Amino acid sequence: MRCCAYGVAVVSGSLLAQFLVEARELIQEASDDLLALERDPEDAECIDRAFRALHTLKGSAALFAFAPLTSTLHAAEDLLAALREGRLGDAAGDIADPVLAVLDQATRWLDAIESEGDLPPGATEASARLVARLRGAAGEDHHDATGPVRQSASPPDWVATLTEGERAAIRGMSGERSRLALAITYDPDPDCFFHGDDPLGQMRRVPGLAVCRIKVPDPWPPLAEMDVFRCRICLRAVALMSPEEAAEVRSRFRLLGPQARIDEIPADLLLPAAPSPARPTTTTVAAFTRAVLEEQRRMLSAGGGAAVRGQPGRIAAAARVAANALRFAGDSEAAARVEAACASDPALRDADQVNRAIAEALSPTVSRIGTVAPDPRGGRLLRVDSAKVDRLIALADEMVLARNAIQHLLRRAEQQLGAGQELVRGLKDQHGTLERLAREWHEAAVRMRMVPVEEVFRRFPRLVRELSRQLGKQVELVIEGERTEADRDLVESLFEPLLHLLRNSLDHGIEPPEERQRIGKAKAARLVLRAFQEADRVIIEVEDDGRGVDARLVRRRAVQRGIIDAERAASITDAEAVELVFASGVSTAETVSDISGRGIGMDAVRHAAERTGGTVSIRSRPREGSTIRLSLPLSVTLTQILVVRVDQHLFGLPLDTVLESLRVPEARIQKLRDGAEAFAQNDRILPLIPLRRILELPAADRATGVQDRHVIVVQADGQEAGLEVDEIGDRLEVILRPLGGLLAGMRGYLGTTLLGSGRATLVLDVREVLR
Amino acid sequence: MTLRWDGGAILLEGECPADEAEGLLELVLAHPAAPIDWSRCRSAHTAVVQVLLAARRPLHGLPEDDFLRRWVLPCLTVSPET
Repeated sequence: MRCCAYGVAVVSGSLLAQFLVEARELIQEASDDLLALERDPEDAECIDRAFRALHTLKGSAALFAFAPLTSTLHAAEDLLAALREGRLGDAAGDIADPVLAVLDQATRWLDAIESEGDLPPGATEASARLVARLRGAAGEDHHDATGPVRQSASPPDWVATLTEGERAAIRGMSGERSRLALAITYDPDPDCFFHGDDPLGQMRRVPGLAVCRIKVPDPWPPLAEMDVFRCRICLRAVALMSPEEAAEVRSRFRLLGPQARIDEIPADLLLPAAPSPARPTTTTVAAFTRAVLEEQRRMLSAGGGAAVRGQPGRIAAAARVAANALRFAGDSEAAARVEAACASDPALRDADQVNRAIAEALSPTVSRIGTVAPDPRGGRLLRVDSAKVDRLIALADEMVLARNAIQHLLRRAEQQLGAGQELVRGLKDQHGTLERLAREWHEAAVRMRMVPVEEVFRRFPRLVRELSRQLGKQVELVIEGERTEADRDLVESLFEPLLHLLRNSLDHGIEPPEERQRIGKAKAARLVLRAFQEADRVIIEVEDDGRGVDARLVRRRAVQRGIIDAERAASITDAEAVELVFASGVSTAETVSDISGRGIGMDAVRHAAERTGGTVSIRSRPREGSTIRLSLPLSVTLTQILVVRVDQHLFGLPLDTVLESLRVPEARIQKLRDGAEAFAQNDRILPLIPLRRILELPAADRATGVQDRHVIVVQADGQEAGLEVDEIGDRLEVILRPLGGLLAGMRGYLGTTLLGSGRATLVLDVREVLR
Repeated sequence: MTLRWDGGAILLEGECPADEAEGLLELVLAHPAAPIDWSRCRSAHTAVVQVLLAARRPLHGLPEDDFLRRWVLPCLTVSPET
């Protein structure tokens, strides 16, 4: 627990929980930026974002007493600060690995904190090793006036505004040749006092101060309303000092993270100001925004308000333009305030109110606009606890149950009172309405759970990078359609199967770089992870330009493993043979590698797809590559089932597997040699399988006398059969809940549901049943 | 005592920490015409300096501290631009 003079930070359970959530997000962001940096090391925005993420991470971690975590993050932040200020020179390209290693370790530590409440033993040593590695990556601290240090972006623009008097003061102090001129740009956070910062105190300790501008807000808030503990000043200073002093000052200011930056400025200040860089600088953005805002104010107050009197449209337009300009400058808060000042009811719109809001937005120090990165997500989204959405869906589910219960009761009413009875007819009508509403509500609730597949896709670039290194393959991972949306549970369940498919491509499909070169392919293989919507399905494809699947090999293996017999193997096409990779036990790897190739993986992928109501297929082009395609339902839908009874047990059969339900007279049943039975139906002979035997229920005593058998003709995988049951029940629309807990992964069942009467019922996986 | 009222002026003495900022603001509001005597002030936290900058009261004396004299004083004596 840390107490400081201006507040008390109390470590509570919910604070820690929040920290864990935010820390994981920050780690993900920093990882994304580091990977992007590898592709484009000059991307200053990436560097800045990664630096801020690490800085925030370190700051939050420091609230809790996890010293190894804080010191490791601190060292990583230092490294990124050095990168940001252009002090790494050639070492800049190699920082991704050590920093990613830090992020990995931090993730593991976060997991330990979450489950055990503390860091694991050995954390201190691990931290020390990582810190040493980071320092090594930075090289010697080469603050050497003669060394070839890569310059960062040109010094901040305010340097160009130094007056002649200030330049003279600087020149007066720069006596010896070896003195460095540092420009210090310090914009303290408004709540920095609560972190123990004293900005002026910091400046006081800087040696060789030649210029120190204190920028104050214009105007100051009214004295009586002043919040004395809110820091409202900014500092701009130039100081001259020796390289050793400079190193010390740098490290002190580095503790302030993004609040401050230190740049070395050319000693000869008589040169004309540096040309403005192509990218809009802080001042350019701010100047532009200022100009736009002032123009809106001029328009609103022109002629004492005459220009906009009785023209609410123009007031709204002014507000809109001002808000957009503020957003462009990165100040979405001020933008929101300006928009709020413009009443939505045109009759109530007040030009003065909007004018005041714009004036307020103009008043904070100009340099603050543009230092906050714009929020790419804008302000239109609502952050909702997913538990609340789940609750809504649970309620929708229960409504469906209640609706089914009413259907049940309706049937009984029909029986007792007669179908023509007015009351019964009325109830039926209302039930129809209820049915429609329940379905629509359920759909709307489920649509709330749609998330972009990006959530799971974003974990792959890092993993593919590691895997390709391990396997000695060169690969370029391309992700397409990551904003495609699907049900949250579905998206989360995709991680393992997709990971396996990517591993598989990397391990078996993609050739080593030398081989690729030899056969005329590009050295780096292309691995595509793609998502898109097609009608009511989400399609996810994993495509590689590797070897493709060897149909002959698969055929042979399938026969070897007893999946199919030699005759069938010969008769199927290559395309069909390749699909056999999804059968259990087939693996075409010559050696079972540590990473994949055990043959169970592809089977698990198919099972995972089917558990969600989807399918998986593969298309292979020999020597050109393969594409694996997952076709998944867009959302959790209501399933139609047919209820059947065996003894006192009720089971559900998915309606899309049912071809017909019929009564087969005893006479039509043919007995076969091994005790099996069959019957003729529509010019075909179908096996007659007692469902009780499949479910391993005791054999029934068949009552003597000729009786019809109740048979459901089902089909799956191109096979058809008749399932014998004791009684055929209703068709129902239900919510299918996958088996969970101890029963999860059990074969033979798609899930459970509750019937209208309240009975829990297992829904059978007909494909498994027929096997 | 780093902050006190001597009946005619508000005195800042020694090393004025952040907590004094609130007291300073109260004194400044309670005595609208009183000057601020900082001739014995050796250092002041940014929070305290902010109150000085916002209040713009007449100042008596020059602070003992070089930093305050060189960099803060000019801000307090330049007339505000409208």
